[in-house]
Amino acid sequence: MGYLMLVLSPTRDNPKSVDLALSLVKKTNRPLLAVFIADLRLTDDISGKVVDIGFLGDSVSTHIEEAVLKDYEARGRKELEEVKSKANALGIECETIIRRGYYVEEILSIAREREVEDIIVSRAERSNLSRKFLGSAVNDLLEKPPCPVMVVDDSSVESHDD
Amino acid sequence: MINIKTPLLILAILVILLILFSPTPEGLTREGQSALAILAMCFILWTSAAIPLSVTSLVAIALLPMLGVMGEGEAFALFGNRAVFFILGAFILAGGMMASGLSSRMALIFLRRFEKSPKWLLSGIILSCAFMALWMPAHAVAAFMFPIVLEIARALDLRPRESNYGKALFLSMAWGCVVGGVATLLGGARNALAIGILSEKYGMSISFADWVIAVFPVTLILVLIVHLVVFRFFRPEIDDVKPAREVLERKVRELGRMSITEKKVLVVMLITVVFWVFLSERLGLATIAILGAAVLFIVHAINWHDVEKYVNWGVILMYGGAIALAKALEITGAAKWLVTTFLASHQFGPFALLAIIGLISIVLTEAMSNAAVVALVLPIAFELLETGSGLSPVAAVFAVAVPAGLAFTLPIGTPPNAIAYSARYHRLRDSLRVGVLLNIIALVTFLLIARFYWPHLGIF
Repeated sequence: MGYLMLVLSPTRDNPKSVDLALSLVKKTNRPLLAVFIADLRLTDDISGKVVDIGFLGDSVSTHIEEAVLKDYEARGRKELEEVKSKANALGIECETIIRRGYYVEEILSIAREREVEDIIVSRAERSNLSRKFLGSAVNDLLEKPPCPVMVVDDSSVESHDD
Repeated sequence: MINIKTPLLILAILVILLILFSPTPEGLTREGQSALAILAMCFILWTSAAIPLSVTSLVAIALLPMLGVMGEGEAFALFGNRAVFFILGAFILAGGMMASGLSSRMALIFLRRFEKSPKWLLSGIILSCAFMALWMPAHAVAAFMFPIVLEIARALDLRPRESNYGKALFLSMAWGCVVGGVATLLGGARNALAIGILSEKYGMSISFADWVIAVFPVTLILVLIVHLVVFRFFRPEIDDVKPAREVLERKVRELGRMSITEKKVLVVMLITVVFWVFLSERLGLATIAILGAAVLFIVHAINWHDVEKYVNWGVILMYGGAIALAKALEITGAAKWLVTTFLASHQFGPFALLAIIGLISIVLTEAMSNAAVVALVLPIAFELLETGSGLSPVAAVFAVAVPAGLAFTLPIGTPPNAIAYSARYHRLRDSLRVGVLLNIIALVTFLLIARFYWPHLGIF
């Protein structure tokens, strides 16, 4: 039986998506694959500010990016450990993966490498207009889903089975 | 995601074409109309950052001769403005401080004196950032302080977005840099840019010491206010900073003893500052800056590789282009036309004018680069002085450059805010809520200093 992949957000807490993932894998008796991506999109922006507006050299922006990504990874490890211990307490088999890269590319790559049947991702509640103009990694994923993707908003759960 | 940069780029092109092909309004020359078209394009591109800021400047300086606003020789000669070379020298000196590790050592030594309690540590971050931003660009200070603060936050096991202390740590870093950066000509290149525009228009200058004497009280008061605001709005939920103490101890241990290179940079920096304070009127700010930077190479404290790693050469294009645009607005009468057409019916007293200029600058700086605010607002502010307000050009320089440096709210306002936000320990609404309050207090503080302190200096 394939994995249910839970993708934790690097920029917000994910209590609803964690609860949903645990309840679904418990019900369907599948293994859980908890994933954390230290998203390079978040650091590309800061790099642009430091170099284009601050007029500091590449070395400075690389230094900042590295510090941010290390911090995200440390947070990711901690959150994944929490998910794993919750899963273990419920008798659920859980594997964890932490990657550094672009959100959508990494999710697609993991889905290809592992036998992933469903994906749960979390996102903050905001308008569609804001997502269109400011960008949304989850929207990008929904454009080329490798399997059914469930998106957990702050307040609701919607399913995209395309 | 819709790429909004391309539509904004198209908008900038459409606006410039629209202004260029419109009938020339009465009282405005054809050259003035072209200068206004370039100004409008720069406003859109500097605000949106649809292309790098320095490239916008480069486009502006190429359009000036192309549209007949000024001769090619005259336009490109403005890249050689003294302010540009002062900024270049100051950036190389700052690069030397970062490359040698001197900047991190100074900050850590400073911070270690404040590791007693959570509030003391916050105070140490505010003070060390403000202090370091007196000697080097504020965003460079934020850049080397950021990993230290991040490690402290991690060692204290603070929960991102939830911990008040986590929010306070990063906002203290950003705001310390911001308030320190306005006090000297080294804290932000916009200060030197403003002096460059002043000297192009009036042949006047402001010495290093005069700048510090006029603005340092603003920084002193704002440092205190940042303390009060941070303590009031982000009450620490922890009562021990032992893990942070261990981080600082380890970092100092890792630095080891002060290297020969650090000592060389320190001596060169100190001598350069002494020269700026006491000899800038005789030798010139830019000459001293370039000489200081050259000495760093001569004593083998830095090499070109270091400089390239720490300085983005776009800095020359940005500031050279900004000065050329300001000059174009002046010589073509475009700035004068703008003021007489839209503001001539309003008569402002000197204090009201100072307040209006300061308000416009502090509002704009939250949405665009500080230097862009100076480049866009100062030429128009100078023309406003001609309406008989009685405000001096020097006061106008301060009224634009100081509030333009006081961006507390949005990450796009200034790199220290963006760097602090990248850690995601605070939400946008945290910096918005408290930053707006700081903006208001900072503007009021600036105006009070201008009203009651500057008359003693003969500025106001």
